[in-house]
Order: sequence, then C-alpha cells, then structure tokens
Amino acid sequence: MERFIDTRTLARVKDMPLIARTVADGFLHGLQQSHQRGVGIEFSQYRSYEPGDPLSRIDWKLFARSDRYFVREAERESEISIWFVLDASASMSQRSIRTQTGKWHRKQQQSHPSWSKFDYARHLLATLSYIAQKQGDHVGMLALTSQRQQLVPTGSGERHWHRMLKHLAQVRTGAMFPKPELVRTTISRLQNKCLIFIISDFYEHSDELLQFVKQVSAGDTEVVAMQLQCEDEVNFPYKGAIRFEDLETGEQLLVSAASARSRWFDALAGHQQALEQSLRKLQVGLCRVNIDQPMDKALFSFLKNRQKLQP
Amino acid sequence: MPELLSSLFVANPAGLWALLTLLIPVMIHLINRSRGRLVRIGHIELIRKARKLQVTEIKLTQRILLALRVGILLLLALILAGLARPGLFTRDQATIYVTPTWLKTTDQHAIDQLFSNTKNGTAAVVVLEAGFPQLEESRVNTMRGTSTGSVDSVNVNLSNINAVWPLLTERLSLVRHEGPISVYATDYFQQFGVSRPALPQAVEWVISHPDMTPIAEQLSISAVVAHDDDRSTDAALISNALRAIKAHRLPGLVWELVNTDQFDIAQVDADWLILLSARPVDENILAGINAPTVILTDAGDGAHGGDTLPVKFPFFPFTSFRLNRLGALVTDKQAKDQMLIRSSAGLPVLQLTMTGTARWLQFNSRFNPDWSTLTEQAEFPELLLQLLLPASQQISRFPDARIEPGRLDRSDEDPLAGQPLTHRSLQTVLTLLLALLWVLERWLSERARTRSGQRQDHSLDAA
Repeated sequence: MERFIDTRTLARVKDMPLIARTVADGFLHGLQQSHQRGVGIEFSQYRSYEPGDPLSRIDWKLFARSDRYFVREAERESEISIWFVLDASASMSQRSIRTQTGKWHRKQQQSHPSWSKFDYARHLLATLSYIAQKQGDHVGMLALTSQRQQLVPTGSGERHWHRMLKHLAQVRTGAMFPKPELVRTTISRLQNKCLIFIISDFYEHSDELLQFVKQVSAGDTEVVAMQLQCEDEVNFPYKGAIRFEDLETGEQLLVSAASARSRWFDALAGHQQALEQSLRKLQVGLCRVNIDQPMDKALFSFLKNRQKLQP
Repeated sequence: MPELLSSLFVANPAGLWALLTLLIPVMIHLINRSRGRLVRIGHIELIRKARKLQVTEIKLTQRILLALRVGILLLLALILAGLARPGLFTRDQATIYVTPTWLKTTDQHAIDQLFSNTKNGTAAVVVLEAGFPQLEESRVNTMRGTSTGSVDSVNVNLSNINAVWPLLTERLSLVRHEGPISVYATDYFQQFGVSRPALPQAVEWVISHPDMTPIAEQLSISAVVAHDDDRSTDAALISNALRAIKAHRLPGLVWELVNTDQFDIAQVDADWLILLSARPVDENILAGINAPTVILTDAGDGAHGGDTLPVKFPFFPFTSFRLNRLGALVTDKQAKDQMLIRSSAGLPVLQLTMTGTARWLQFNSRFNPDWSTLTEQAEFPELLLQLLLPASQQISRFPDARIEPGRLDRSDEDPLAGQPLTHRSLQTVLTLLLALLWVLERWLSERARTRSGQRQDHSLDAA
C-alpha cells in the first residue's frame, strides 16, 4: 500500500498542519489554538509560561502546587470525517503524449514512467489520507464510474488506512462518471459535516459532475475540487496532423494541430472559466494540479492556500 | 495564350531539374494532411471546438501558402532554366517571303495572284535579301528591275544570287512569327546556299520551276603538277583527271606538268600544287609559300607492305579501290591531322594538314596502278575535285542543279543545328514576379503566425 506514498512528498508535508476552514469544528489542530472548552477538547501537555502568553491560560492549580508558571496545552479531537471521492471514469487514463508513441518516447517511458491522471489521483489520495489519519482523522473513500461504485466507509487508524489503500489498488478506470440518479443512494451515506475531496479531471458529458458536487456540498459539508491536468492540455505541444480519440466515447477527430492550437487555448480557457464560476456558486474551492509536476510541490501550494483561507 | 506558351523555350534545359523541388512543399502539405498520429484525450469536445472554428480560413490560408511556395520554386526553376521567348520582335500577321530569284523569274500573273491572295488578309510580302525590304505592289516592277537589270531576261547570273537560307534563318530567329510563314522560291539549288542551318520555325515552301538558264560563274583555277622522272605515269593519270574536271566541271581550269628537277617549290604560283616526288617535303617550306590553296603530295619511296588493302571512299560508299602498297608517313603529327580516308586495317591513306593558309593533303600511296587502283576508278576526277576545291566554290560547279522541295525541311545535315537562337529573355519579368510572390508569401505566413501567437498569448493570460 505504501507504494502510493511518495516519500519525498511526505518528508515535506507530513508535519505541516492541514488547515481547513472547518477548524472550529475540530478537523485538525492548526496554527491558532482554540479557546473552546467542552467535549472533544483533550489535554495534551504542559509547557513553561513564556512572555506573551495570555494569563488566562496559566494553570493556577499547578502553580499553587509547584510555584512555577505552566501553560496548559490542549488538542482537539476531530469530529469531522474526510471523504475522498475519486473519479474513475476512462478519461482519467489520459497521460502526456511522450509516453504514447515513438522509439524515443518508449525509451523515455521505460526510464521515467509517467503517470496518468488516475495514477496521480491514487497517489494524491493516499498521501492526503495518510496525513489525515496520522492526525487522527477519519478517512473514507468513494471511487465512481457509471458501471461500478466502490465505497470504503470512514474510519481511523493505520489499519483502516491500509484497508482503504487495498481497495484503492483494486480500482480500475472505465466508462464515464455516473449520472446523479445513480449515485443518490451512495451520497446519502456520506456523513454531514465532513470534508470531501473530489479528485477528477472535471470533464463531463452533460452536467453529471457538477450535479454530484451540488448534491454533496449541501449542508455543513466542505467540498474541495481537485482538478487534474496534464502538461499536454496546458501546452498543447502537438504538431502536424493528429487524430484525437476520446477515451470515454471512442470518437475520433482528425485535426491539424497547428491550426487548432490557438483555438484549443480559447476552448480550454472557456471550459476552465465556466467550471470556476459553477464551483464558486456552490462555494466549492477549486485546486488545479498539474500531474506532470512534482506532487509535493502541488500539495505544498494547496495547503498553503488553505492556510490563507483560514478565517 | 496557348500559342504564346508553346512558343516559349528554355535556354538551359538542365535547369528544369530544379522543378523537382516543387515536390517538397507538396509532399509536406500532403504529409500534414495524412491520417496523423493517434492521441487519446479525455474530452473530445474541446478539440471539436478548437477545430470547428476558423477551419475553413486556415485551410484556405494553407492552400494559398502552398500555391505561393510552389509558385516561388517554379519561378526559381524557370529562371535557372532561362525561360525565353524566341525572337527579338513579334510579328503576329501572316508573312510571305519571296526569294530574289523567284521575284526575277516569275511572271506578272503569278505576282498578281500573290497580291490578290494577300489583300484579303493582312499578310506582308518580304524579299529575302539584305535589309528584308517589304514588297509593295506599286514597287514590284521597280524592285524586279533593280534586282535583275531586266525583267524580260530569264538569264540570271549566279554570282548575284543571295544565299537565302541563312538569311531566312536569321530572319526567323530575330522575328517571332505568330502567323503562318510561306516562302516563295525557285527550285534552283544555288539560291539556297551551301549551309542550310535548321530553321527556328516551320515554313510552307512554295517552289516554282522556272524555265531559265543560269549563267555559271567562270572559276579561273591554275594548277601545277610537279613530278619526278620516274613518276611521269602518275602525272599523266592526274593530268587525265584534271582534263575531265575541266571538261565537265571547271571550264576555267588550267594546269601544267613540270619536272621536279626544274621546279622550285618556293617560287610556285598556282592555286593547286600536286607534288609527286620521292623526296620528303619540308613542312616549313610548305608553310612559307602563300600562293597555293591546296597542296597534294603522294608517298615517298619508303614503301612497305605488299598486302592488298580494300579501301572505301567515304564520299562514295558503294565503290572501293585496292591499295597494294603504302608509303611511310610524311608527317607523324597525328594529333592535328584529320584522317580523310583510312584503310580497312585502320592505316592512314589520306590525311589533311593545315600549313599556314594552305590545305596539305597527303596521299600515303601513289597514283600509279602498281600502288593503288585509285586512278582507275570512275569517281576519281570527282573525288579529286572535291578534295581540291573549297566548299564555298563547289556550289558553282552545278549551275543548273535543282533541289527537291521535299528535302527542304530536313535539318539533319545541318551543321548549325542546336545553336541557341536569338531570343528575348524573360528573366526580368520572372524575377519581379518571384519577388512579388515572395513578399506575398512572407506577409501571409507572418500574418497567420502572428494571429496564432496572439491568440495563444491571450489564452495563456486568461488561464
């Protein structure tokens, strides 16, 4: 299972606090200490008083016993589950062209195997869930295609995390993203007050993905949309005549890449803009990840952005 | 337009190989629109949007660019090949050329008929003589009179006859005729001249057969036959041949027989010198004397071989003579010598050497029947005449010779065939056109590239 874990990534981000906007509900303890008392507040440790600490945080009883100033530190117990929704439609098999044809490309592929969007998504899921479970959060997974839905209920602990990754390894891409009516029952199993990561390329045939986001983002649930893109989509490096084939429908289009290049950027920008607007209406944050860039870099910038969003 | 295109020619046909470069842009274009590489993507809809828009414009631009690039390479190839139009001037109407001999010998009725034919159209009648004067109906009698002296006379002095064939060649190479060309001539051989180079354009020959008696020019040629005592037989045989030539070809020919003992070669004053002597001839002495135009010598005494060698005449391919003995070569400067006759074994029999202004013919045997049977051949006087008389003078040997009209269009015997014609080069026009196409190609190419680049930048900014 650890094969999904990028050690370089973990080395950089595992000690970094994962800050959600729902910090008040006790997702993770963050940079700012909570003053909330009651259920879910768990004693962690004492430390010596340092100038600047509020006087109200000094444990006066301990001072009476030891005649020294100690500050009581507490850790919040998580009440929010984290769901990872993985789009396993066939379009997630897309990868950059250098891995597709040509002798040179084949050699390159052997020495530097590159990921498809789905490979990247599984690694991303594993890394994020590792961070979460290390901090004692409950994590669950939902992999969706129009033909199959695989759900791992939320749980905590390393054993649960291992079981989830075992299921993750068995997920295969195929078909399309399911229609809303197909996933209604499944969605109802996602708990309220949870954080949902939707890892997808956000390519849809009608509006099935946005309908899904709309359904899951109701209530107190926070949804983060992680859109995966590959380098070829960003730069459109094709030359000459290219026969493009849709991974989901098999439809082919013969295109002169040079003539389509400029229009491609227009079309892509239009698509991204429409997606951003739709998600903004649903108050869903969008995070774009380039799968041909190092994952640790993407995670670092994602977590940093979330830190800025902290109220 | 088709006539104009068909009249164009290239001065340097090797340059047409550059036309192969036309394949380069065409192949690039074809490769670019071939089936293409397969790329699997997640969302074909974006590609459809990218392809739908402006696809017609892009295709049109690419086809125009292809046409421009092909045009540029085509023009380059044509410039390399030296595309040109024949002739310096253009004459788009029908033209009738008449030879002075025809003008002088034809009757008034034929001339009236000629002009009645031309009145319907715009045909011009031009006389084939220096300056190519146009023949106008009102001036016909004047031109006939000034040319011949008397219209009534049917006797034409051959010395006044122009060689109309070279004149016609010059005229056709200078003037590009777009209309039909007719040439009115008589069938008398003399008017066409010795040299008949290929005509740049096809002409229609109208040959008349006038009943006239040309007055042959009297060629006065003197010859000296100098011989050793033991070669008097040879000299007598030569003398017989000269007698036949005088009787049938050259009435003005005179000759004398002298003994080499009483003969100083340096003092010779004759057109032809026939030297039959055992003594070797010093080439330097031959080069020093100016009077003879032709010198004919036979072999010395140092003969070798007893074989009978059959030898064919190159000029009379159906007859041959036997060569019993060959002499030692008088000169061994093979390189500059021209072999006129070889034996069947490849040995030199008759060779030509230029010494000063004279032609030195060396016969490597003797005219004695013991040595060769040459003098016994019926063609011997004719062969001797052809050898001794320069080509320019040979035409006068046949004052009444006629030409077959069917042979007039043949140019395979033409010594000047293949020479470049006078032409008007189109390179300036082609270069200007090339520059124009190049500017257009650059502008269109740059425009397409800039628009694509701007769109890309804009998209990136938006992203």
